[in-house]
Amino acid sequence: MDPILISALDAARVLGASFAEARMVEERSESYEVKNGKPAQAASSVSAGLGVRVLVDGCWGFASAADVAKKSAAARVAKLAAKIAKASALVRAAEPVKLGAGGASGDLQYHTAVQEDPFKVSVEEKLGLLAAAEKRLHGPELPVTQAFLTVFRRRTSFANTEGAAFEQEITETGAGIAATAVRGGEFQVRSYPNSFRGNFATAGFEYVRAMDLAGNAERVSAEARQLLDAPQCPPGRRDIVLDGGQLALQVHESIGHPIELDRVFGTEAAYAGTSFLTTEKLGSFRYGSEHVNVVADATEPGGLGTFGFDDEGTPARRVDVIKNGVFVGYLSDRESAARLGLASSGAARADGWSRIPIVRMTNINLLPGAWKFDDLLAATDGGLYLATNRSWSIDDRRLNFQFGTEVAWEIAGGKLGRLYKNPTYTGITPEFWGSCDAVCAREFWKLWGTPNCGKGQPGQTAHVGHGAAPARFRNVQVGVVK
Amino acid sequence: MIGREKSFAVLDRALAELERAGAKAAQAQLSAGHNELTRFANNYIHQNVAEEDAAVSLAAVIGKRLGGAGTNRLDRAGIAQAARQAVAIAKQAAEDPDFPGLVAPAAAAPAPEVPGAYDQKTATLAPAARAKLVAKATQYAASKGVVASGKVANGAFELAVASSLGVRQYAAGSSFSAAATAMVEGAAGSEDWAAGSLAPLEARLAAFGKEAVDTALAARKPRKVEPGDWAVILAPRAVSTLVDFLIYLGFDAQAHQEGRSCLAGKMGTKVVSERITLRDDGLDPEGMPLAFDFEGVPRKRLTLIEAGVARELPHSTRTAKKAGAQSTGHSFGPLSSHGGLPLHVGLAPGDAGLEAMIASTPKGLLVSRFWYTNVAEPARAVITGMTRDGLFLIENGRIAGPVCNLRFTESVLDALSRVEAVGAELQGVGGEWDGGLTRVPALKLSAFRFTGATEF
Repeated sequence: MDPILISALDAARVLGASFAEARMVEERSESYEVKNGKPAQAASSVSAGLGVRVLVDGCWGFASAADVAKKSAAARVAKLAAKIAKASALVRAAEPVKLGAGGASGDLQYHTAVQEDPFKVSVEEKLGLLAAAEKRLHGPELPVTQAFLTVFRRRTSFANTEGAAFEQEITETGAGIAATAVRGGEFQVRSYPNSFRGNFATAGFEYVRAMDLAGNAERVSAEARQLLDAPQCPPGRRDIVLDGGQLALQVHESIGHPIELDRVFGTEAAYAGTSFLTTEKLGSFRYGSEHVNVVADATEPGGLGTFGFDDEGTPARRVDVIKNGVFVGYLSDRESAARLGLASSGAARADGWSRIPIVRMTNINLLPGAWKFDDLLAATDGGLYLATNRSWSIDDRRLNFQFGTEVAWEIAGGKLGRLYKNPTYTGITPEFWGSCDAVCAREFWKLWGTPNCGKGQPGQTAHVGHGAAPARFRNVQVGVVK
Repeated sequence: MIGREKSFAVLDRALAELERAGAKAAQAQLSAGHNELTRFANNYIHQNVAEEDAAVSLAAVIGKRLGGAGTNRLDRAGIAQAARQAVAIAKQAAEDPDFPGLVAPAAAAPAPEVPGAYDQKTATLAPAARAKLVAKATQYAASKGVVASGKVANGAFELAVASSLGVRQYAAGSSFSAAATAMVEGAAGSEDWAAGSLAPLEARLAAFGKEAVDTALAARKPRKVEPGDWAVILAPRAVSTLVDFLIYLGFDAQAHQEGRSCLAGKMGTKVVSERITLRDDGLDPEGMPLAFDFEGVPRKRLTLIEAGVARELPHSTRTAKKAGAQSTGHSFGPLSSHGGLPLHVGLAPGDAGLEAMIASTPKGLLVSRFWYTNVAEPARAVITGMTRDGLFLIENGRIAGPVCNLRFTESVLDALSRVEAVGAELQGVGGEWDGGLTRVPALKLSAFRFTGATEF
């Protein structure tokens, strides 16, 4: 175990902590963008530091600092954490904090399985790959063409006063392309494989090579231009099929967040909000149709929410969330799970060294059904196929949502027909999932990475995953924008 | 606090390492600070945190090639490694023919220190003092049978910029924010205060939590109303959402140059009501002042909208060169792929009081704040979001009672074209995207489009 961690825990014990955990985290990232034939971004960053969380007199305190090369600095951080915990006791809960069962004890290790280390691929090659793809986006009425690449690595050394300890290295890679078509005062964006800089996975550079960015570029540009001429998506109630990328965000906002147990208990009320999914609903509430099966699975290889241990040291696990449409499980950490007499679901995650672990998504996956995609289109005549998220919004209890996508196609004669621009759809969470009557099969199922999930104060950004295949929803309100 | 002298010592070391590694020109930026935040929920403190960090961001220039690297390892080895990385990236990057070069010292005269930007009392507020403020809110809430949540936060920051061309800028500032959300019987109310220092908020904080609790109590037992076009009175926090999105969608110079701004081709024309005047002032001591940008260029005061007419755009060196203009001091730095954006926006106050706005409304809605707003159609500045923490029906010039929350889907430009009255009192509201402060009054709009309802 790192002597800095030992120093921090020893200092916490001396200061009266009944429990303490220390995390040393180093994050490295590289970010690249080629835009309009020129490099727009090429930069790397390193951020490292120590965070110490303590329980003193049943109340929490946390402190963190970057400059902790010396053991004395670790003790200083622990001392501040204890001082803060004592201040917490000035406005304390009726009961002291109780933690449920802890993580596996002993020194454990985990690292993302990587075939090609993305940090060892030269800058020249990375930018070259992007430039080759971006060049194929060029065309008339396309003043903005972009290719993005991000690589990220987080190394964590963790220990707590219960004897749990682990070393973990998570490697993430992501990339994408986007074309913006402009005419007059209007502009339309198409992207691949997903909007907002592409798709992301815990994987090496092999993930980017397999994307075939260049091979998709001409289609992306053509669709962006076609959207300029497309009619506005007509309003009305329609049967809709969502592509995996949009469905991933639908899962994220209307399942992933409401199942966070800290929200249910009100500890995010002032910022992220609460949840309609109150505890009496566990095990009985009909969340959706029998076709809706969802798991929280931190063990799924490649997901952006895949790891060996969460930031409380709980080993990664797969937890049922919705079984045949019935709500059966929350995302939780040790503290929130204990309030229900449950074990942590292994979802305590912290954004780097300077943040505390809070309840976050892992990989919240909608399990595949049995439909072939072409069969689903053939059985949805008069419906719409909506693809690639453009915007999202949901109320603070996670009921009323509205999403926009980059594109919609009319489904006619069993095939994708006319293109529509500016599609939106809206609904109420349980009604919407209750209207799901078809989910495509495993061969159409894919993991989507969401690297920008915000929660907490001070703000934390989590990297989470969602497995999804295209699915159909009946009688949904579409096209609310005039 | 690192201080001016030590900050420049770090940056000079970084510039020397960049030159040693092969950079022909270079910029180094130091961002440092500490932040502490006490969070409460269910009437007790449940999270209580502190962080301290200092990091450099290095830009290496070789001809028209640019590479960047950042690190918070500020020892000799850490900085040297980052410098080598920045240069290695620059060497392997393709040339950028549009790179305007680093800012010349003539364009980056030392920016003035803004009086009061750094307040020692605010920066060093102790955890026990934050807890005392929390207790005000939780005790008042408990006395009314209400559950309170929120935060009290304080901190300090330092920003220093230096370049091999001789640019040198330094600023320090403090920050304070306190927010409370109260919940009772399924209803909610909230309040949110932010400023560079405690002093301007002390009167408000004397009754911290009262507004949130009283609003929640008034919001109990809401009735449902139908979505549709409603006259609205928007409290300052709701106005700040509209202003923040107008800035984001309309005042990015790069987006203008690429034709993807909602105000592209509309500068110099009337875009919203003549009652709207919008300014950006990085030197305003009432905001969270920062006198220069991340290229070291002093921030110019801008009139973004004057009596409804779109006037000035914020520029970085890059967008200014393309526009044949001068940087206005609104860059995010030479490594940023974004254009300049204003961070210190204020909507000019009018002369209306909130009570008078309500009294002059036969039928409408009073909106406390919006929530989870996002862009639905960027070209028309259409955004969508929910109301939250108190939505009230106004009938015959009086508040008739609470109503269930609604979803809006509306063009910011259209909404701000329907302004009937502008409030006299300004409130500083933390920016939509964490950082900066938007200072706005309440507004009365003749119509605002609600498109959906939720269940509470």
